[in-house]
Amino acid sequence: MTSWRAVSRRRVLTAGAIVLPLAATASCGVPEALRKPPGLSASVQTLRSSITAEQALVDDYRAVIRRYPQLSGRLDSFLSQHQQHLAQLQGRLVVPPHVTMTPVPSPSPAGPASPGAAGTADAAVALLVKAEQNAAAAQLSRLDGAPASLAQLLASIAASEATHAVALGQS
Amino acid sequence: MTDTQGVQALQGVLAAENAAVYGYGLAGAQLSGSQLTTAQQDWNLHRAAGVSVSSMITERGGTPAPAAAVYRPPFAVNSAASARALAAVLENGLVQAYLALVALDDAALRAFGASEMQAAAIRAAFWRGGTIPFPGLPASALR
Repeated sequence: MTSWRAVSRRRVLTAGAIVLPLAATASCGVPEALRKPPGLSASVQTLRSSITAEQALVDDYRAVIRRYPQLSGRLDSFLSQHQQHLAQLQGRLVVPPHVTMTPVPSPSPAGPASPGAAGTADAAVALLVKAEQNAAAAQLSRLDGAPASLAQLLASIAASEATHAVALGQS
Repeated sequence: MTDTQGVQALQGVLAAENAAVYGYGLAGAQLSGSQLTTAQQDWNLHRAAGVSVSSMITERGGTPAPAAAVYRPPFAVNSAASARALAAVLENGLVQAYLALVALDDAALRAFGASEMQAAAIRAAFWRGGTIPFPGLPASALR
């Protein structure tokens, strides 16, 4: 079910996309802004990078569980929490259809340091711990300038990831 | 000039730190071994945090609210299990208090709040025995 707040946010974002070009047109008399719609706001950029980072963590967990199924019982709850993070972040991102979405480079690209490519189950878990630590630190770096409610969501997700890193390292 | 919003949020943190100092005293009486050691470390940590946060309030033109003489726990603390549960409740209260700092425009307080709520969330997870997806956020904040 769509919440009242979600509907309100969509209306605000959509209205912003429409009103800004018109306002610019009225002030200068040249319809330049109509030919070039406004780009993505800083908040949207922040959300996009958070979503990309969270998706990378989900992919890492899935890759490790696929390669080392015996870790499933140990990792499933962490994976589930990251999926909840991702859903919350994606639920806040509504981009007007005219805005071109370009991929953001993944913070943990596949390669030798990818948890799913680790040679042993223990090494994979160690890399997941590192990935959680890096993700928590990256979320904190996105707080400056973010709207209050988004900043609180990112800080909460960062705190969750910090607890994952500690719990994984001890389990 | 007083930083009203900052002082108000920091007073909330100070209240949670003071409650934690008192509460860890209650919890510690029911714990033993390594858990008692951990509770003592956390008790000392919260005492120091209370002093530090009081200074931050003063620096911003406020007056730190004094701790209450007695705090009533949310449930009877008469076993190791209830002591661990109380410690988790106390730390969760701190996560929420520090999260209030993250809503401020002051970048330094925002960063401080985010960092401290991570530490409190880690302690809460230890006492709770598990992690949660959104430490400090009420269900009403999620969609």
